[in-house]
Amino acid sequence: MFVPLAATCAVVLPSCGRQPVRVVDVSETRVVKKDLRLGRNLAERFGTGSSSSRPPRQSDSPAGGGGMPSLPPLGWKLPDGWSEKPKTQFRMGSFASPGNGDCSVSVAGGDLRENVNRWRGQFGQQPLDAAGIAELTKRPVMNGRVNGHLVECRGAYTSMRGEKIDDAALLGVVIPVGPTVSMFVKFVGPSATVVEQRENFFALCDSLYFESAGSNAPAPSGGRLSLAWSLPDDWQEVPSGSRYRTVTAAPKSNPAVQCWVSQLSGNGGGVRNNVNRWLGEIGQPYLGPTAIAALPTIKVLDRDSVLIEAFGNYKGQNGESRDAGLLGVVCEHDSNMIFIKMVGPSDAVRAEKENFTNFCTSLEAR
Amino acid sequence: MKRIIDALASFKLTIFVLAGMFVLTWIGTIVQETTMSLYETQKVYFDSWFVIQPVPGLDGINVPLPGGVLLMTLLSVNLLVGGILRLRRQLSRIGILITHIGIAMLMASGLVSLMVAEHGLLGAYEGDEAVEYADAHHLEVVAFEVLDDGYVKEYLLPGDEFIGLRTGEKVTMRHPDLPFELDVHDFILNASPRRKGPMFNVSVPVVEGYYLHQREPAIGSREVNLSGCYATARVDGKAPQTGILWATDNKPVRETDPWTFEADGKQWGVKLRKEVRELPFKIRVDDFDMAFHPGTRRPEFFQSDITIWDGDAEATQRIEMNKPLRKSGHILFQTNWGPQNDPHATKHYTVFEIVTNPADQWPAWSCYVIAIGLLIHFSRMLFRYVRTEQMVQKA
Repeated sequence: MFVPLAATCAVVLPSCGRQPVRVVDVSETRVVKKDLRLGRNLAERFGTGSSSSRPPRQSDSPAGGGGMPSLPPLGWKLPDGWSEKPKTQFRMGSFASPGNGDCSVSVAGGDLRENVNRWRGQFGQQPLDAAGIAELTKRPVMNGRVNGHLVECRGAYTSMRGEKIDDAALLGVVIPVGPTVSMFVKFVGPSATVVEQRENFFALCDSLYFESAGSNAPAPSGGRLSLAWSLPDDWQEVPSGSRYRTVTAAPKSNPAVQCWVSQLSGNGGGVRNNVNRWLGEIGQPYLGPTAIAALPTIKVLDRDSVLIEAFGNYKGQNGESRDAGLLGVVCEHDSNMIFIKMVGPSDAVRAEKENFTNFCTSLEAR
Repeated sequence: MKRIIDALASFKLTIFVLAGMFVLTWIGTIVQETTMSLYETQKVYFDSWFVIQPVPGLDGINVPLPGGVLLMTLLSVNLLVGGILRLRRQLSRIGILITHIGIAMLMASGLVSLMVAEHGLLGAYEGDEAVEYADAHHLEVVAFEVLDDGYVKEYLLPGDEFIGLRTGEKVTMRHPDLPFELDVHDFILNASPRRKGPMFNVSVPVVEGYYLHQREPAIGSREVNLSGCYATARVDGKAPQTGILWATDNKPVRETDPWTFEADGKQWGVKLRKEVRELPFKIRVDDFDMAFHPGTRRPEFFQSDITIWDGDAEATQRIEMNKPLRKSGHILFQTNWGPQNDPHATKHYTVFEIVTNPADQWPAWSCYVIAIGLLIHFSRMLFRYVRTEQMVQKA
């Protein structure tokens, strides 16, 4: 009698009486001698840099997670009309724009608020409080790999060397690159120049990358899966123009067709968003959740992965349009999203479908 | 009344309990191998009165089972009533009685360990002194108030108050000395802060461009989970301030700085961490020594020489594998070392597991009692057999 009654209570009672808000008057306190470091931002506290999303590991060394990193050389694509100036001790990159604009890339410690307010001070503007800093616009930079904080000032400018511009403007982007340091891209000049060169400045910010051994355009870092594959007989690897691609291949008999594998850490926007982005490129209608769920799947890396086929007019990122087909697979693999995409003339893509699926299923994690 | 006592003393109950233990052990072993950590399995199946067990293949169908605590309690009662109270009071049964008392002591030591034993970890490099250590499992949120002369006042919210909070639930922590109320919400057992990208949405707050990403909880070893949560400080007349808390302290390797906000004209810190416990004495690691089996990274031995200060008394002690330090209700086991992922490390640290368990020595005493009981009983049986044989031979 007791056992069934108690069992019933055990099942029923836990579901009762939970309140969304509970107030706890804490009574336990203690006073200790402690070296407390307050005022650190999140990246400094957790050692999460711009490209690092991994948590500290139990085995991390005491030296990890802090201090000024030894940054690799910086690379960029110079906007049309801009020229490079000699680097200095404090400038990783130094540029001049048409119209007497001066642009610098530097790395420094200190928190965001401190540095932003230093820039504002050069324009005689009041410092921002924490709420003001929190409201700064965030903008993807470095080819979309990180978000930088965008700072804009306008007014009378006095540089650190005392040079003055009466009607000046500043465009700045603060990019976190390590636990305690940020990269500062600062563009200052007459306000008309800054307005005119605004898009070029953002293009420069977007083109920035850290050079790594053997490559002047490193792949995005952070937890990418190491993959192995086997190419169909008629396929060969071809050079890729994108550092986001793990491999690019093309059929020898149909060189107009290209197939590539790319990866993003995290959910990469999710299956639905990516499928619809691809469908949009080919001029096909948007699919809702039900239609996405009904898409066929194939096994890639032991995961059921959505396979899409779309034929229509391909619109590339440069705006070109042509008759094309697209085969794509989105594979959700643990903390990575793997995309396999083939585009080309529609007939050729249809002809390569079997090779494409064979290639997809040949992928293995190394 | 007699019927109840008969039922409690019956062999049927003994068999029911033993069968229940077999089933529980079987399920617990499977679950521990597949979906739960060892710690969680212990908690759910063995440190509980009842278990709500899902039936594989039948979604939503659960079967209530007796938990380990209930079964052990029933077995103890069965043993007490059947093996001690109802045992015939004869000198010839004294050995059995003592044996049953020993088993009852063993059960009692298990119960006391279950109720009050605590486990923690203390890591230290040579030369480090320590007066506190971190609990192996329990978490706490702590609010720091900076006092004078390097002292800090800690306001502690135990993990039991916020672990398991579901979406939309929060716990508000307050204290008469705090000029704010602190909401703890969105607790995630295994989390990591990640940058919030433009292409996806998250269901938790985004702070300084980061959000807490939910990771798959570690199976097999719950203590490696890095838990996280959010804290929102509400100060009168100011907008709420929210921070991300992430329990990543791993002394002596890493101690995470607290989230900082302003209230009442000064800075306050808040942190999520493993519960900190104080030692009743101070230790210093004087020497840590270790050696690997040749050609491997398997330790052949590792040992620590420590100095202990207890009031005015100073002593030295070596702690090595299977030779712990027992002092003032605390047992320090040599349990680990680090860093283990750096073969070129020139400096290693030692890790002690610290257990507080008043019943630490009870199993040993129980075994002595059981041994004495069995010795008496079997000796008596042997004498009786020998005497019977002699009588048969004489006849």
